[in-house]
Amino acid sequence: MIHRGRKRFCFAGARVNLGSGDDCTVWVFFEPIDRRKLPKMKCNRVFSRGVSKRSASQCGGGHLQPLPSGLTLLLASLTMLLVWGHPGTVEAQFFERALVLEGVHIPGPDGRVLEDSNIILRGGRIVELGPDSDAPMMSKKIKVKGLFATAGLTDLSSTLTLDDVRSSSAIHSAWDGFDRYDSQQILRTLASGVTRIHLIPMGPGGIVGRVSSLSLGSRDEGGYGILHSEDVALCIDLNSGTPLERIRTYEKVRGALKSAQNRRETVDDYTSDLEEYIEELVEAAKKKDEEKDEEKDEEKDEKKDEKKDEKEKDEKDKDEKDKDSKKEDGPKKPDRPERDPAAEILLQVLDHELPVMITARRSADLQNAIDLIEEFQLSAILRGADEAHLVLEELAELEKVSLLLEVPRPSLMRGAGPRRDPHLIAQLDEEGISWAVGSGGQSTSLWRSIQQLSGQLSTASPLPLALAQGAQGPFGGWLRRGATEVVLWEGNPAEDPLARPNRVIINGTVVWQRPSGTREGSF
Amino acid sequence: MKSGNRWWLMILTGSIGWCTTVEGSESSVVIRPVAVVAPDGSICEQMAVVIHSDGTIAAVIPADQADPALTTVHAAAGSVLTPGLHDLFGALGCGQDALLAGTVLFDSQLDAAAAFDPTTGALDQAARHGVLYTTVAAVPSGIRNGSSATFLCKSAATAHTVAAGRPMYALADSVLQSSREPTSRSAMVSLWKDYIVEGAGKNRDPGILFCPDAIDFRQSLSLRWKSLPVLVHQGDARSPVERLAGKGALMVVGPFLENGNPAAVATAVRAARTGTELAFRGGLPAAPANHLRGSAAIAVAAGLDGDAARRALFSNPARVVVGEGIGVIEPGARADLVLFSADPIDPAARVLQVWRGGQQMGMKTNGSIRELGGIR
Repeated sequence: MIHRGRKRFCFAGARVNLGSGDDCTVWVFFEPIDRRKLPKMKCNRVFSRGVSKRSASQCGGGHLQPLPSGLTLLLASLTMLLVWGHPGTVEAQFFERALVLEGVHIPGPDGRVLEDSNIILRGGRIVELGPDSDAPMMSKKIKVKGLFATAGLTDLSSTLTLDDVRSSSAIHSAWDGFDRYDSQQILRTLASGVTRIHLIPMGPGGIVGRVSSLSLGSRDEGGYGILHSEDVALCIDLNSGTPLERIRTYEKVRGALKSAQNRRETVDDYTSDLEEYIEELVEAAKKKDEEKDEEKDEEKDEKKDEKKDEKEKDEKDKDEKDKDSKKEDGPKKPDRPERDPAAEILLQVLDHELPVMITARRSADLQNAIDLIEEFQLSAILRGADEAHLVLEELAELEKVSLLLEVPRPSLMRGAGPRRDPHLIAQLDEEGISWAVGSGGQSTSLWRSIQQLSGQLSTASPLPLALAQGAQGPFGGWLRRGATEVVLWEGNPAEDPLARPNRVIINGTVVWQRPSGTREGSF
Repeated sequence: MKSGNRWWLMILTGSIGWCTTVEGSESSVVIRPVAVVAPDGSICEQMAVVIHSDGTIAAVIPADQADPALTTVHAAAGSVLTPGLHDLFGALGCGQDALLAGTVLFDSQLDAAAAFDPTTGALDQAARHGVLYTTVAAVPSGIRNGSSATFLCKSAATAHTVAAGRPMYALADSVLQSSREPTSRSAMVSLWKDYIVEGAGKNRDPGILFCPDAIDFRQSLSLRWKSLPVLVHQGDARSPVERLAGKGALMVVGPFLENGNPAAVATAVRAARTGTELAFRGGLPAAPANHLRGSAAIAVAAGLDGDAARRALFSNPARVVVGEGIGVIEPGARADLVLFSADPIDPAARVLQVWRGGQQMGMKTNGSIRELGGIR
């Protein structure tokens, strides 16, 4: 790639080892190419991932050994053509070393396992997988023979690292509260096979913020978490507080949505008023021109009739004053409504551009949520919904509604919390209501929750259920070409209930690896 | 079958002759073919368990050697038969404040059994979730806190004791009170030393020692024990559990809850790697009903061996309370059994059937447990 910044030329990029053990893309910047100066061309600066790593003196700074000038220019031209044609592909194919996971077993959706397969990753993505895939030359191989590879799990309801973060407005994003440097919690989550989360904001009830989607991959600048979307849904919590507080919360949310509707009317009125104002301005400008013409004519008449009575002069002065006052009374500019970012987000919800995630567990709260959905015709995800079996008919009548369930922990104590019917999922399936599962907490419990759920559903394996979470989006689902997140398990997660993740690879980087036996369990 | 369990099967097959005579009893029931959790925590496939009419286990034999004339309970494919789960030091069967002790520092008269109410319906509810034993003990507010008491989880007019009480001790902050000695940790440790070397604690059952924090644990190990007590330890990263290596220690840990303290889980795993046997502490009725199996699943995910986790669920709690004939499936033991749909440490496993003293308990439809809905 040729970069023409600061009068220097980037001649080529290459994947090299800088000596620290890290492979990285290096761009070498040269002084302006001049055929006459080519033999004296010096390495000016080495860049790695956009950061200057070494200056000329550090990287040697010596004279390059140039090729014959004609041949050099020919090679440069060919490189330019290739790079400009398909920059990403060329970089991935020519300059990125492939990462090969050798000898893994890959469970498939049909229950069969592709044994002794190779998974080849380039640029962080799987480009080939299967028993017939051969490792390319110069590839970086990781021997993981005997491990089982699946895609990473997606937790659709996570509060990872949000322990002490509270938000209470539509403008708040869960991503803002995510602590990307809380490596302990994030690594524990990765150790449970979860690589992608939907981060749910937490707050005192009502409108608490927006749900973010992120991958738990490592960041170049340190920490973990790569944002995918900050606007997955607007989160409304109707579950917090005493029954009276919950009723107040419902009224508050309803009021906010109504005021958003009113705001839309105000904005519409302002727009039409503004158009009228512009028309009036045009008319006023025309009138002004006409009046000016008239004044000129009158001045000409005055020159002809030099002698006029003083009374007429007084009348004239009065007329001028009237005209001036008319000018001041011209079209009045309408007042622009004050900017309200929270209301604008609520308008996106009302326009179905942003779904709403309503947390409601008890039947009374679910009924409130249903009323909101019906009144404002919302596209909604009901989170929790433990007592959904009590309002099943009302739920079935709604369109654009799905349930995000969390596996409850049944208690022996009566009144300890909402109770879920063990046959709820079967009932939801009968009514055609879509559902998904989330951990509702730190994500470490997701795999166990799904295992527990598969036991309740008497399904043969929890793995299809686990990989179905979030598979509607561009990520998730079974391991396939283009996937960026791979989890390597010590046993077959489709069959072995005690199978544990051994390594997690995101974007071609091993972000977590189970410590060796002696260190296991230590901090 | 796992290779490590061949010895167990050999003992069983060796006793076939004895078993067949027992099988001849018409009132016996046989559960087969079923996988059985062995005392060492492993799972033996294709077994049959013969229950005698007196409520004890008559024999554990390979499924094909069971007498077909006996009343047979056919276990579902993949199901696993286990001893009953054991809720250690919870409050199952007791009122909220019933387990509070007085202010006496060395209270050997206190009996936790006095706080137990066998008529509570929570006992039957717990049994439906596979929890068949409950051990209760007073809140550790003195150095000696009376004795523990262990009961069968069965709602009835009278309590059914399944193990003798063990002395309960504490070396923890909960002992320190401003109203009486000791008021400082050093004084408490000094009292402990006197008690063990010269006092009433000499040559007695070391009992069960409540030492929840790392400092309690460290100071407990510094005492001159003739034989190490059962340690009830919550654990954190500073707990010197490596010092238990080679001592044949038994440690009560947990309960581990989802999104709970990961340091406690890591400490338990570290202890297990030194050869310490674990038992999971209970938390009923406040904790989730399946908290014991949940603790096991969390510990396994953190690195605990599957067999060790099963021992911590079944046989080791019985060792903690020195219960005779509970926590194991072997001839002569109580027939308190739970049939799970899968390995009990698999979160997907459900309780299919429960036997208490050989009597099958009424279960809900298809083995699933419908939660009781409160009036709201």
